Amino acid sequence: MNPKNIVEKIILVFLSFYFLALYELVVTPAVMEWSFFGILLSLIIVGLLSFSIPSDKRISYLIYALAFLAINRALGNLKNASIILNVVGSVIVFFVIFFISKYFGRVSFGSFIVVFLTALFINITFYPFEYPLWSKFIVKWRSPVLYDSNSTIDYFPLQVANVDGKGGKEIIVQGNFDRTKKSTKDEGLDGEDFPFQKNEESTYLVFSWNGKTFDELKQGEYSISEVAKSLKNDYLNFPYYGVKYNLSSNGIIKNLTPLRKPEVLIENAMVFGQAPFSAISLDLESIMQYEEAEKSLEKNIAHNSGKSLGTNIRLDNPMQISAQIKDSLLTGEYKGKPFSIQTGGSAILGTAHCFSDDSAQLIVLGRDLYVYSVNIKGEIRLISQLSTKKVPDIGTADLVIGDVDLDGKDELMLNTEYARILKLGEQGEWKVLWLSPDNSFRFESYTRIGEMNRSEIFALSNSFMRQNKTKYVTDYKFSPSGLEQQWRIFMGLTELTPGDVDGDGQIELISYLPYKHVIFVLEKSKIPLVPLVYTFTICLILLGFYGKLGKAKLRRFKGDS
Amino acid sequence: MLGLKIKLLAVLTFIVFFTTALFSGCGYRLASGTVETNQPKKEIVAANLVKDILEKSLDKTKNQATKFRFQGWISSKVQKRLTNLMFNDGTYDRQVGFFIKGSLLRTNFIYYRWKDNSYINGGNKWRRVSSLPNANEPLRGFEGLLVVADRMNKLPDQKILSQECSVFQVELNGDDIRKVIPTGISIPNYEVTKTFLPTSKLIYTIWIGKKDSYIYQYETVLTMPVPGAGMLDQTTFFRFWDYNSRNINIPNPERFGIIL
Repeated sequence: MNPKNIVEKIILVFLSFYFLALYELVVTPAVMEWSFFGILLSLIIVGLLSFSIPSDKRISYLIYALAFLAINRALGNLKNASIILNVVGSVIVFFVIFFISKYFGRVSFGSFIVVFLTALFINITFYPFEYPLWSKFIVKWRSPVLYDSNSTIDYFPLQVANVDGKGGKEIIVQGNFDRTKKSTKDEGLDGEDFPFQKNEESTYLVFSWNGKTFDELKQGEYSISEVAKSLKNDYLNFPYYGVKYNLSSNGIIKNLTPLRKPEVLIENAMVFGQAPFSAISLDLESIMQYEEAEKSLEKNIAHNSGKSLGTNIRLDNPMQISAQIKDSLLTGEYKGKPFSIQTGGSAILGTAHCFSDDSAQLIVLGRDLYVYSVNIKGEIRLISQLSTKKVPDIGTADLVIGDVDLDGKDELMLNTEYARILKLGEQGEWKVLWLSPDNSFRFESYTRIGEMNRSEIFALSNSFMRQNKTKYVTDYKFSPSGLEQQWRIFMGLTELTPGDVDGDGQIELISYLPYKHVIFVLEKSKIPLVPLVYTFTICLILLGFYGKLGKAKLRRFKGDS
Repeated sequence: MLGLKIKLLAVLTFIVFFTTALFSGCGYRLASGTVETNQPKKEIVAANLVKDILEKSLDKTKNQATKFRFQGWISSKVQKRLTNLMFNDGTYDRQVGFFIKGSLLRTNFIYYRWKDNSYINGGNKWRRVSSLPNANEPLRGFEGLLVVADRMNKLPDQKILSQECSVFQVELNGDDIRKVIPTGISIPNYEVTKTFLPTSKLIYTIWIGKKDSYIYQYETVLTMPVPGAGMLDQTTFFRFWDYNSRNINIPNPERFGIIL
């Protein structure tokens, strides 16, 4: 092989990476964010790029680029399949795309192999859906597939808490990845093609940083009661499933069992006059099971560890407040002083410092949203109640708490159908600082990751392509005139949970990829990859045109002489 | 030479466009504001009149509707979690049975009832399932509404798929729910029923055709407390049309390759 040929192949490998970066970090975001202008911009970039390639190689390079992207996508889709399917699939992909490429232009077999191998390498090294992350993050850790993808479950809640008695924080998530590792085949129930018929069994998994990567902790290496305490209430697939917890040598297992067969649900709904009431009957059965399960878990854990559960908010938070609701009684402790009050709420959503004095506020949810204020003497009173008259769907709200306007007092970022930021006044009155114009917006967290100098709002929202319903991770900065978008990543992650899980003193963002059941630990990237790709693109184009100019001059010079 | 100039111009335009695109504040500015919920005006109508309209409608719909199309869903929301049972496309024929294309927890299904036999297809395979005895008379179970007819509010008339409809609405508390429950449905007697049903609320809205008295649509919105998570918000919505239309024909089982 002559050296020129080798250089060409190396350039091709390099270009393949560039094609991927261009496609994922420039073209896709442009189209998603600026729709028409984005398409125009992308066409101009691709047009100029191809124009700057010498005309004799133009077609073949375009084909290499398209072939590479196609192969990369195809191999990515094969990733979760079995090994045999993977091998057979890859071979088929290779030949199909090779012959199509061959049909369209002069493509050398050698170069095509180089392109294919590059795609294969990228697919082995990276997770095929993570490229959009690179624009802002470094993927510190990507979990294995944690749960069967052929199930009714979209995602499990993510939790960050210290459960191993050592300093750092661990990641807690559910999964059955022992089973997905062994086989992804269903266990031959009669409705094997209908995932609704299956039991959904998941184990609470604890992942901890070992200095290099995240390891799953075995039972004994973490405290089961600490894990149980940190669990969120999660009405997964409600009201169609009943729930049970089991303690085993693998940890806490959560077992969801369908309460009705699908045909029963369908035929019940089909008697239209009865449908709302058979639904109520099912709701109550499911609620009963959820409550029984909670109680039995509490009993089992207490039995095993001698500790009691039941605190919704724990003492180890920086506000030194603990609280729980039992039998309509809100009780707890604030800076060592106990308090108690009757409440109409059932869930404690969080604690906040809404005022400049040293009181703390408890945000409690029932039919309405209640705010209780407790002072250091342990005196507690209801200071505000946000009812369904003001916010119709307040009862299904969840929230993020943080000081978004930087006045030293916390605001509530409320996720209702139309998300909003509310500020509580001294008299218990509410001021709307911001209201989402569409119902796709969801607050996820308010934090400062990496070396950001202030906390920012991490939310999920639609892109400007309104037809596309995927909600993307978006970073906003609050300003009095609204939320200013800082950046957006075109990946539909959820459960964005901040936490320092690797003990480096900086906060990472942990997130869940729904349906694929993979979690990512993301660290803020210091390399401005997107501007680099843009700059590189400009350089390539200029270089191409410079080359053309040079050639033209040469031609003219030859012509003159 | 001219060609080269054009090319250079193109490059320059591109760079200008490009840099403006990069540095222009492509922000998602969202103004703040307040919420106002628009409550439709309520008309006061004599209670016995509502009862008459309702009685006539229930009777007619139950006895004279032999064929119709339908669509609807039951959706349940608790905090972030939302689940759906959807009927996207349904047809009913009293002589034969019914046929539904829908989805349950995002899994698509086709459900097919042919006389006394029911079949479900949740992927690419039909499976015979045991059918309930009463599902073949779908427009039953509305009688309970007569009990609360005297409390119904009349909302402004609405058109449902070009049918002019009277709209009635009633708000029911936990005790009322027990009163209007149709025969054949029982509320389980758990501890949680005692805790959560009394504080539940159900808003029932029904749309009745002004011309032909058929039920064209109904919606119930249930809010019920759930332990540790605020409220369950559950909407049941169904819409019916093409009553007794000749165009409604449910295909034979053989068409789907089902062997009886």
